[in-house]
Amino acid sequence: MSPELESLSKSCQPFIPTIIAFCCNWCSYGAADLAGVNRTKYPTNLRIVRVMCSGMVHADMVINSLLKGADGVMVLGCHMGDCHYINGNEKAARRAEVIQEMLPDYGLEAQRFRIEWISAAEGGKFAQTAQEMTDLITKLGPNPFKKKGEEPDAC
Amino acid sequence: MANKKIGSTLIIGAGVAGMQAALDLADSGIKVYLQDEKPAIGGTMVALDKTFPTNDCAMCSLSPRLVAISNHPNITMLTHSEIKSVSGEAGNFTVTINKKPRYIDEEKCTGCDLCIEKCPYKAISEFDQGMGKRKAIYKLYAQSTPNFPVIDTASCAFFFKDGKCHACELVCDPKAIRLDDTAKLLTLNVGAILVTTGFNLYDASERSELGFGRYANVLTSLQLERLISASGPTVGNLQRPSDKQMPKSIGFLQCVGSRTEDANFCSSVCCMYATKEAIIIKEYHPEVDITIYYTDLRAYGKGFEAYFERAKVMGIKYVRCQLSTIKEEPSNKNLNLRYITEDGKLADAQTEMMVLSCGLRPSKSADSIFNILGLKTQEDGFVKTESYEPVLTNKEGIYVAGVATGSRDIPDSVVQANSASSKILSLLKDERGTLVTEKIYPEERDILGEELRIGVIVCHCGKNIAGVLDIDDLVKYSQTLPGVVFATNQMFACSTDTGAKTKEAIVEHNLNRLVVAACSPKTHLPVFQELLAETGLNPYLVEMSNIRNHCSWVHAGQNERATAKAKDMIRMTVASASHLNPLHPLHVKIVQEAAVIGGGAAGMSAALEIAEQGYKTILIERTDKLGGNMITSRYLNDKSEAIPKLNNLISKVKNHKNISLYMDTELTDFGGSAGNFSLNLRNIKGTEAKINTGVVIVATGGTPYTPKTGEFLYSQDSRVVRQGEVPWLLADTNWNIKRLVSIQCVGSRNDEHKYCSRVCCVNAVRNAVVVKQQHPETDVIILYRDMRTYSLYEKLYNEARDLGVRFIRFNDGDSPQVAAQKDALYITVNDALLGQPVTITADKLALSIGVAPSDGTSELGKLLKTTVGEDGFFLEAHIKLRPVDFATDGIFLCGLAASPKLLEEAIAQAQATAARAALIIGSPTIKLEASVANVIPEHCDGCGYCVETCPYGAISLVELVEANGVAKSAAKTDPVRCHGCGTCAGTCPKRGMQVLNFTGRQIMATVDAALQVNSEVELCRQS
Repeated sequence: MSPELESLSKSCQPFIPTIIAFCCNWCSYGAADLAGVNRTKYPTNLRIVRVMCSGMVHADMVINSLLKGADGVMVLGCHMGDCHYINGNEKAARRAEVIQEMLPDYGLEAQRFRIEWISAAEGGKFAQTAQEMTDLITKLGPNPFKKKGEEPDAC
Repeated sequence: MANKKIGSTLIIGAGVAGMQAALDLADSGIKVYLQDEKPAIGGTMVALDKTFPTNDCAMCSLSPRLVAISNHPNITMLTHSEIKSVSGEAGNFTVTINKKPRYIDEEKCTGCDLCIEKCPYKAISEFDQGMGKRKAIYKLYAQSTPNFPVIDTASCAFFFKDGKCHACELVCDPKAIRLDDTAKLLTLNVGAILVTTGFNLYDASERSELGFGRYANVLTSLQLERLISASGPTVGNLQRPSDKQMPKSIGFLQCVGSRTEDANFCSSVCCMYATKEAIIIKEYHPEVDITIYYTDLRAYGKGFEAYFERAKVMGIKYVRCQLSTIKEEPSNKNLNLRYITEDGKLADAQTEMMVLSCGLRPSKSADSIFNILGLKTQEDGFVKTESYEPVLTNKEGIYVAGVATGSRDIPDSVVQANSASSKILSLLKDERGTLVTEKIYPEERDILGEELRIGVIVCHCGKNIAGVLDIDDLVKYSQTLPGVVFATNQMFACSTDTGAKTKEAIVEHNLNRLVVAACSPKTHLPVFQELLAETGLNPYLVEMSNIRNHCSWVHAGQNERATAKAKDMIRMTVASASHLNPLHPLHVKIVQEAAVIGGGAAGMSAALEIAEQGYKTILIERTDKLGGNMITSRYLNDKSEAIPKLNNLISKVKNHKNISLYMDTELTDFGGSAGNFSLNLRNIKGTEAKINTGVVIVATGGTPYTPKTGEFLYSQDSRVVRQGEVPWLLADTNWNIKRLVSIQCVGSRNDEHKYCSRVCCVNAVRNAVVVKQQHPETDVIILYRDMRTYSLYEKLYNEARDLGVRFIRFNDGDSPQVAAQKDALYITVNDALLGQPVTITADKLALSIGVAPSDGTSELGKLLKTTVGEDGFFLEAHIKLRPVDFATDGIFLCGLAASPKLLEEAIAQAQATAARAALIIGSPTIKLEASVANVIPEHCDGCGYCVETCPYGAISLVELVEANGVAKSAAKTDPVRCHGCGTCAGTCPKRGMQVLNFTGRQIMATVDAALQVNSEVELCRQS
């Protein structure tokens, strides 16, 4: 067994969260690219879905991701005023408020969803946001909607 | 009447500058001949592992250009050739070129490399700087463009021995080997000539005391670059030559062959490339002890200072000293160094490997080329250019760019190449399009109704990906994914040779979707879209999985988990690609005009340059004066008067028939897209104007840092002035200053402004020289941290020292103290050389203040939707290769708006934007976004939410008659106005609005694929 695997199995965390991050093409996806260029390390849990604008992400996409077992979902867009498409992020922000209110109705913690604004120059903020979300979700534990067999004790 | 002008250009030298100009010109309708003496294009950059200050992989940023050039219908590469003669005049030159025998039939060769494999004879590889071997028949580098081998007759047995070996001929199926090949003389007729001959590295063996060539473990910087490169002789494994072991310690010696008596210039790049090589080694091997021995650390460019700071944080040591000897320890081949520290002490050190940071010299063949062309050169052998026209030579119609005019880094070379392109486009403006051919693609294959046949390519990206992720595992895994019929791995998926293999695979496996697991689609998707088009597949059927930036680069050290994550990423991309459909973008008419924001030297130069190319240009200036920072300058860096030059520029701008001026005017609203921007302007009287234009140039400048009240007694004591005021003091006939002291780095390289302001050292030294020349009796002292008189400005520094200007260095964070007395200012500085404080009196203190971003930069950035970087200056699309482009198409930047720079550099950038702008406004139409919103009528109930939310007013409600004859209200999109943002799709309650190739179903399929399994959990379980 490789030393990496050994340490992984020894320290086997309660669970390894899967976090979906919808990243807009112009700012936050660029920030993720820049984090790479700068070799800024962050946890491996993010699964990035590239969209053209945060305004493209329908509330259903966030909720369905969670219902299908994502432990956390983030929508990452441009800073207010920086949207490549004038104001798509403002619409995403308004939608986010609604999503936050709806989640408890499904029996989900509102913190499982986060919206954040990261410019293409903020590789560090991208990595930090990934770290914070991973820490938070790890603390919250697995998504109750997660399929059987993926529960922590299987680890 | 002179001869008819010809719509073509010869570019001599195919390095990064030559390649840039070739693409600029060819895309603007000029036929280009790209000549190089080497058997492949690419220059020095293809030999580099990474580039500073972003550590971007050099080959990755360059290979899209190699591909573009080799596929370009308007570019003919003339590699392995030499210039014989040139005659004629601007607009119509006749050039003869000797095409040396390659011994390959370029029509027949497929670039398969079998001949190279079978060749039994080896020679030393020049490309690997003598550290590796190559065959007698070889390609210069793996991705060689053009992708043909060449035979080196000196090491081929057929030629040097008995003519019996035919190994290559026997193995070549297409019968492409031509052992009887001979040199051919070509005669070309071209309208203009661009010289981009670049450089050779200084030959370190000339300084025998440093041991290069005698001691095994003394290397040049370019040798180290090859040693750490994945495509180098050790596949990127760092090992020292004597024992093939990893060195535990490495020393770098700076300024080898630079700043000497016979090379009176700074090579501009060595401080940063040494820092880069050190950082790369530290990243992979943190335990290696690295020391850089230097005299001045010149981190003067954009992002350089932060890079240097990062290197120090990583534990790289910088020792300021004079190295006296390098001696080899015979027992273990380590190197004993003896040096004199700044404060005069003798010190010794031992290192296991020593790297010589060699300077740049004009290319070896440059001399004869300059002679043939009749170009004037300077004493160092660089081409002499017109003052403040950085790409003009003494010969009309012959231009120069890159290191041929003086040492400079990649972005500055690219800028000059753009700038020269603009000059050529002006010269040949009426001949554009006369000699070019349209690229013809095969007819598009209809994939309607075909079952999914997805191909997956997993790219090594040298070591960038393969150094962390298990590529074989990823390929094997990809083969199991639904719809995937073919998966393979490639060293550099974006290079020309692998591109050909990908095309073969598409045809052989009849693929109808492609997934490339490599780097960012933001930079590389167009490369693969082009590949698809060339095979007759719709270009929108490819998608990328960014396993480099989002995985291998950020998870190094967690290699197995990273590989697991990459599997999930590829699975997601395959799921998404399954939903891709062919798209066909619209073409619309554009406004073939330009708008320039900012009426300083850069803005005026940009406007003039575009106007000269024949386009209507408006110039917007928010004050009532043209000239910007130049208004307050008295001397230029060549010591000539600035004001006459400025007045000349202003009158040219005011009198140009294609330029309209909008003074006292600001931009208040902005919209549209490349080719069709709309600007709302308001002048000081409140009058508004609406302007439509095709491109926008941002030349909003920078502003001098204002010292805080009391900072070095500024604004408290009249004897404390700004450096820029010194030349004006000279105008006073009662000059009676006995001692003038300058303090450098005021408002630069500190917590508030972390960057180096680049211009202050040159300005202070120039002022010192002028003062000394006019008043030799005045004592001039400059207090500094690092003297950053880079490139040819080193001459000014030496001139100042010769004139008796004194330089006293102080350490970072140890600023001098100033006290005012009636008789004089008392300046106390901790002299780093003496190691103790000294107090000097002065009757004038000049503060060398830095450059800060212009007021309103971030507001303008918001209006234009362009990014502002951490330093507060505008951020370009790519720091190396796209220095004057914004990430947003159709908007460009130049001058101080991008970062601090000298006037001549700002002018070069301004001229560069003109060539980039011409790529858009040069043609009457532009291709629109293909991925636009589409209504699904059966889901639409006409609620109109999308109409409200659309930021572009691209949606309206119309009456729709359904199949059953019932009329209903439904949304309709306007594909011209739609930008494809998908806000409508995000809003629609019925899923009745979809952005093509970003449909809700596709996005959710990607999410489903992500949630199907977490391979990291699987990995954990297996353990």
